[in-house]
Amino acid sequence: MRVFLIAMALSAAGFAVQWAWWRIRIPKRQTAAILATFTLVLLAGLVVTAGPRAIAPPAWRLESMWEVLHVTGFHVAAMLAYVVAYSALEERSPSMTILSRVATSGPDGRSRDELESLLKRVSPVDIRIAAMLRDGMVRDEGGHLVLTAKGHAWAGLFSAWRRLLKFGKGG
Amino acid sequence: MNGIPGYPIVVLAPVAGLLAYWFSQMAIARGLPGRSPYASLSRGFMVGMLVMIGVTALGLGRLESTWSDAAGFGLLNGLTYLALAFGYFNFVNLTVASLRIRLLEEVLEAGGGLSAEELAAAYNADSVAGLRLDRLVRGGHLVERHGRLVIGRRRFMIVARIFDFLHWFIIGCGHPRKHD
Repeated sequence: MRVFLIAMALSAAGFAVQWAWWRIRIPKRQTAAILATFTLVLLAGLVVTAGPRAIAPPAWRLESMWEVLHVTGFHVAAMLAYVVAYSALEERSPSMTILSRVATSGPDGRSRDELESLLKRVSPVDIRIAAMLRDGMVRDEGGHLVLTAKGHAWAGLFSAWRRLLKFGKGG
Repeated sequence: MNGIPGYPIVVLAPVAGLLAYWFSQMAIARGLPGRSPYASLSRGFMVGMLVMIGVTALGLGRLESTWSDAAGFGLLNGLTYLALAFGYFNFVNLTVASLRIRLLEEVLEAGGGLSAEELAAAYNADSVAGLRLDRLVRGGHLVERHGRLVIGRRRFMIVARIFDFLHWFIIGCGHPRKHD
């Protein structure tokens, strides 16, 4: 149970530090801040709990490289899952918006036309294009949108993956 | 395998589970084209979970540990696998549901460049809105009754409410939601 408790404590500490930071001020680059916070907490925790200079009490020490890897594996997986979940917290997905709207209408429901109009309002192309420009996925060359190297890499990766899985185009 | 101690096997079990999820999801998706993408994701998840449990049990069988430690290792592996599987699910889900990825693909297919007007035309918001609604109906989250759509399965709504609470708790109210 020792290894499990140390892993839980480190991840909880990472979350607590990030939560406290956000109470003071939410940083502009939130994903980078979350990754940095969790990584620094992990490193600090390993210094305290592992190795010859560990200062944690014996019940809270990691005793081998495999135990360090076990804790690190969980911490990294949890950190990445949190980053993914966080992006969903930042903005409600169009599907959730639709379901909330239908839920409020009770047994009467909504018509397809109404919901399709709502979807077009909450997911307009121009908002996505602005986000892609902001994030450096495309650049504007005199009204012409051109993929940057980053955008090319993302588009190529997901296109190849989708075709490998034989999925149709999404959105 | 005889000489391999148990603990490394235990540590690597979640990764083995993730690899099993990945390969089985791919095989199921390719074997059943046209089915909902979530069918392969849910089945692949179960395969990965079983592999993770099996490898964990194999490692624990070679390890001399107390029941308490064994339970701790099992729990830790279960949570690690869930986190890895969540990441994989969302990676695949981007190909299904992300509008941004769809737009990037449209630009890529046009040779790497498109005007905003051409992009809007290629994107065809009408068909994509219909696609999204069809996906919600196929998944049972919406049900069609007398030409109108009503709530079906409540689990997506429950998830929405949980996310609304987490948004308030972590990010706080008053902070504007950014658009993707």
